[in-house]
Amino acid sequence: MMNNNMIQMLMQLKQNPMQLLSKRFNLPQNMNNPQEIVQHLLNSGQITQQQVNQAMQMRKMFLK
Amino acid sequence: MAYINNPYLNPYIYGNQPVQAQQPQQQDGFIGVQNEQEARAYPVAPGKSVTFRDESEPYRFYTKTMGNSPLENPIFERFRLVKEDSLSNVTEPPKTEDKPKDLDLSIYMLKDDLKPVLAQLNNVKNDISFLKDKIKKKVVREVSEYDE
Repeated sequence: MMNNNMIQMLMQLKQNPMQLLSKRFNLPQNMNNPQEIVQHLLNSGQITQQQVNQAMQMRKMFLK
Repeated sequence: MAYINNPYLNPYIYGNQPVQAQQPQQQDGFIGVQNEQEARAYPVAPGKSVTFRDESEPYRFYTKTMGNSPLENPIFERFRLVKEDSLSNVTEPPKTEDKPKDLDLSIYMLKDDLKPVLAQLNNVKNDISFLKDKIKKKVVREVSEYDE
């Protein structure tokens, strides 16, 4: 039963990743812009400023 | 024994340091940005303030402060670091952005100086079209004479 759910989730993720992520993080529909998404997560308290800062730092290092 | 001598299992062999997970480095609490636009677009949590250091312009800093409500517009401020030599003397960093770039004026002419040059150019144009007409007429005449 558990495996079926996992498989379903994986398939959903493969087909439409944004839909699953929007559901998981309560994102408004049609929110595609990463910056908007991060701001929304901050506003709703799902992530902290420190986490955002760390993520942005890592992204910068990765893109160098 | 195998463990001790195997470099893949024993990271201390040959003086190697064990590999540590790389932690993202927070540089003195300031977030480095390339320009003001990047700072303005940076996500900031409600009720928080973030300070940015402009990596392309020395002495330039920004702060972005979000109000407690996400509906409020953020407050964005620009700062410049000023060096104090002593209590009384304040040395300002060289202003690079406000100074207008010096134009090389040697490639330009004044309008008044240009007028006689334009007049000469017109004369030359008129002479050329006059000569063209003359040549055309001569060619036409010679062709018609040849036909006869």
